[in-house]
Amino acid sequence: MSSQPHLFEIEQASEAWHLLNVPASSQQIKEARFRLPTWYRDDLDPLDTPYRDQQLALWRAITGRSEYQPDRDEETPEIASLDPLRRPGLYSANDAAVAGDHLMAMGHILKISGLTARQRPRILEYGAGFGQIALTFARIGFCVETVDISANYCNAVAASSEHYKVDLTPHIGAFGYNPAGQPHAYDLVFFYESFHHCLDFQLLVHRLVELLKPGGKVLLAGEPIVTNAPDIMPYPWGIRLDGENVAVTHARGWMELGFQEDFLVRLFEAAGFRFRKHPCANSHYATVYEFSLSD
Amino acid sequence: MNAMGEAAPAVRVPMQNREGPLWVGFPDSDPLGRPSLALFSNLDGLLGDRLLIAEEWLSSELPTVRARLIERVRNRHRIICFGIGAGARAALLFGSVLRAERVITWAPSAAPGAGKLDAEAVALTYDTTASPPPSPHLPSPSAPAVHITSCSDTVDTDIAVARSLRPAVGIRLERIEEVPYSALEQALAQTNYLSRMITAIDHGRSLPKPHHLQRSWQSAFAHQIVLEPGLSPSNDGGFALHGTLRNSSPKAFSIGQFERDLIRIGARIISPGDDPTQPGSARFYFGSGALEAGATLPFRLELPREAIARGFEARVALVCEGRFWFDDQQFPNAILGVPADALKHQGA
Repeated sequence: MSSQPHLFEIEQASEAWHLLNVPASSQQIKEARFRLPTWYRDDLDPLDTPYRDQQLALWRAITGRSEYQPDRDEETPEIASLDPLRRPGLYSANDAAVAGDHLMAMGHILKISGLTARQRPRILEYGAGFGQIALTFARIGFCVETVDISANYCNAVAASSEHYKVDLTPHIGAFGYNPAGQPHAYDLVFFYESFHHCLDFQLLVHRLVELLKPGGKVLLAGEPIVTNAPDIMPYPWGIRLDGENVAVTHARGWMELGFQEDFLVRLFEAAGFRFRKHPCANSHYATVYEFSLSD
Repeated sequence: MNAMGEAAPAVRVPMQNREGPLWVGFPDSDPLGRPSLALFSNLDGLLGDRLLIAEEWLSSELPTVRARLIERVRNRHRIICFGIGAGARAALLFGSVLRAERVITWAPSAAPGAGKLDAEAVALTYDTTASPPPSPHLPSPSAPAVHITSCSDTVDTDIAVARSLRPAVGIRLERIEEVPYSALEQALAQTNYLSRMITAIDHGRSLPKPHHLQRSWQSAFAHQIVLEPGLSPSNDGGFALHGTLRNSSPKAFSIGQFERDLIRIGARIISPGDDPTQPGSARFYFGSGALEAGATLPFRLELPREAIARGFEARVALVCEGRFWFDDQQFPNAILGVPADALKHQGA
């Protein structure tokens, strides 16, 4: 029987980051939780601007930064030194279980996409990182584009595209940027471990309807979407309050959001999507949320 | 683009917009400091009066160029700016000024002649929300789609340029392996890659991929060089090396274009004891005309007596003056080695 997790105050985010990097205390931080500050109001509408502003205030309190700028705060500079062809992210963790998680997720996304080359599908991935899933779609013969705020990641995708001579094109841009330049161009838009970095996800969900062809679908995987985790997600959406996440947010400045499943599904359904969940018993990374438009 | 990357909503295209866009090209500077025009080869026939080559950006002050360009694009509602190297940097700058719908660039960081166009100055022009359109007849403010294609040796610095443009624009990022900046303009000029890109944009089709350029470049410039085994005396007391260039590409070589683009047959000559990084050189100038597919052209390279008296090895290949040797880019060469003794037999 494990003891109760340690509770930190937001002001202790820096201390948590330090302890996270000390082997003797790392596990304790991973199991710890952060308490919401006393000024945090729980009576705000999660779809309204004051709620969003309050989450931004929480982010500022954790990071000590003044203004959230995705192109600055979501950067991962160390990836520029990784070989995007031989050891992209999922292989560079030096951990077979990590690679296995990501590869299972990739396989699940590919299968649930239901796409074949005969359909000549056009696919868009947001927050693609090294773009390994996008690359696999492209190697099947599909037309794939990626959007990422990080120039370094886009450069890695460009290197893969050129190496494999496939129809894969990266674009530096923000969530919602439409590389096609015209509405209803995509059969599939997918997110892997990226949707939860989008602060303006409500606008994005409605934007997805414009991006997709009739009958098109959105797939989310590797996203922190929870059904019952009040200590980590005590609100419909917001910064996750587990120790590791808050510590990393403090150090990196990333926007590390999470979602209660009911809230997120209702948001997509209100935008006109049909919902289907594809759980995976072997890895939560491979649990896929499928949102489809009608033909 | 706003924070959500909002694009303009779909609208009915006005009659004037059904015409293709005006393509405004910004030349790089060639090794002699002149506007390098190879990029624009063969575009006249495709674009006609939809091609505007903005040479003035290299020789005039930026405010003057800005005013002149705004005047030159008057009444044009769709503009695409493009360029290589220094010209690419100019295309980024003036593409924002002119409210271009696209800016297509290759190696914008490789800009030896663009000191006045530093990255910061270019980035500032992309703050379209802060600056009104420069002229009422230009399109309303909107961020252009920016294409940046990097060469094999400009990737890192092009990324820095791309980062300086964020987050005001969406940037399409691509790269070409095995084609360095020095060979890029020739690669684009000698293939129909740019024409295919223009046609694709005009018809709303997918753009050609960079590896198509690499493949076309290797095909369009395919050739063989054969050297005769002996030397002959030249008029100035030296020797002449003879050989033939065979066009093994599927299309004719334009000799006139070779001359304009400073392409020659050249020899790098090394004698025993020479610094291999400082070879002697000789050139054959093509003149004019065309070399049809499959045809051969005889050439003659004059070798000064004093340069080869100790014997030599000559490596003969096509060269784009001041930029690159073709045999460094996976094209062939021919090598002839002649010892000093053999030269004596030939009257040295």
